[in-house]
Amino acid sequence: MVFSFVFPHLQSFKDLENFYIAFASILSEPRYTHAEFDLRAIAFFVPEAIMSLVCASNIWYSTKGTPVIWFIEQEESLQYLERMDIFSTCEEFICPSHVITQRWSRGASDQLVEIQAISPETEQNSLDIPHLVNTAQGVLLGRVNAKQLGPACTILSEITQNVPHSKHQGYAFMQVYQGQRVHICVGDTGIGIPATLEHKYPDIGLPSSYIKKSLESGVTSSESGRGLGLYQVEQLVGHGKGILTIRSHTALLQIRDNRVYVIDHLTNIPGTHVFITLWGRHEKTHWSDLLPNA
Amino acid sequence: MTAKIISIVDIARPLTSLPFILATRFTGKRFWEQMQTHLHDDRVEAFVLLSFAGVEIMDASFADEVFGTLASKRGRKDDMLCPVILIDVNNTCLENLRMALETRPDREPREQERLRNCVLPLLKDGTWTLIGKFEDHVLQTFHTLQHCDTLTARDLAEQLGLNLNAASTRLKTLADLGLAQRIEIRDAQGKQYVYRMLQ
Repeated sequence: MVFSFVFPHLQSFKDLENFYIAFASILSEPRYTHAEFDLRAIAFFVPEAIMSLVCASNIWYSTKGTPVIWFIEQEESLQYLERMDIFSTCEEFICPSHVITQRWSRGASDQLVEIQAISPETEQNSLDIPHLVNTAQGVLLGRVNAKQLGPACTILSEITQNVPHSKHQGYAFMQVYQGQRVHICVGDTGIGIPATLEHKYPDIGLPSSYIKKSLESGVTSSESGRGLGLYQVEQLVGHGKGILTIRSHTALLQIRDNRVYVIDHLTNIPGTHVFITLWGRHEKTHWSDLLPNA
Repeated sequence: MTAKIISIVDIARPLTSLPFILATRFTGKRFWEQMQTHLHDDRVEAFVLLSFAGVEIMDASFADEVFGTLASKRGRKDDMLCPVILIDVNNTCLENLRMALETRPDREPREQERLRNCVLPLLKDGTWTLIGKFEDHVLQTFHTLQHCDTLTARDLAEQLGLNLNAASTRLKTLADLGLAQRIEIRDAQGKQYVYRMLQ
């Protein structure tokens, strides 16, 4: 039986959470074997939405064994997702509703780093990341200044090398908007930050506390590591007056304007999503609706 | 004595197809194993210039695994490697290197004695800088040494108003941290140590 998830809009974390409530419920229903994401009303996909839908589709496929069909009517949206390589990189678990007859030129997409799979296997991960960073450098050059390019690449490198902790496949992409605003998205469908850390740091408390803990200098799930990467990410995002958002297990943490906002008791969705915005904010959408205003 | 110049990119080349992008702790571990083989030199006055020429990005995890480990071992007098001077470091690499070295003492295992100095010297456009975390006396002694051809404990004691033992300890610390050369001289007065900048 097919379940159709209809998205009248996708403009905030609240919209995503409403989707997750329905998604988690249907995922556990054995009678539903196929899923569709009806995205026909969505005119514009923000990076957070794309990564969340990609990971949800992956989770569906891992659970049910069938790909999710994405219904997209607006040609601009289809074009954009095609330029992001969503349908080729994720072809195992995402099917577009239309057969794509025209491959849009990559030359028109030099403001983005297309979605890439990031290996959870440590050695392969260490080979994937320099190539991702190299591509990101090429996209950033000429769009951001010299002081911004290094931090953006460092952030991308440090976040993606945490994918092996999740023990599941990860995905990453980056976009540069006009005015030097940069979005970095990294997601996986793995065990989540609390599960990664709780054997070494028991009794931390709520899942949001584990997310916060993961950002501290010296905190790591491994016995031999020294936990510097995510701490450095937080520092760099702060210097860039950016926003760092992490969703993992049942918690969401956001750091912006030197303040930390947390929400617990969300729907339990496998994996961790990291969204970073640097040197600017979203213009049209409300990606802090779930969280109290500063 | 002419120092050996070692290229970071050359060490990285067998480990990654993009040796100008140094990323991940995993690659850092392998790089550290390779780099050590270049730093073994029994000559007293030996030191190495580690050139970052061509390195575009070095992330903090890599920096910590390689240079954090090097500086930590130095700080604990736990290595027999010759001193290094970092050169041709761009700002991105420098920022991540600084983060790695400055926070390293706080991230070492608690059962180990606290690391008091975790520092490497950087030479840029003829100017020396110490990168990392270090005690105030290390910087003060280093700056004093910079303005002298050579320095003995007695010289340092006179300049800074220290007792001889304290001055001697300071200079030995500098040499142990790989920030100075320590040369033994025997003359009519017996054996003494003379210190000078790495050069």
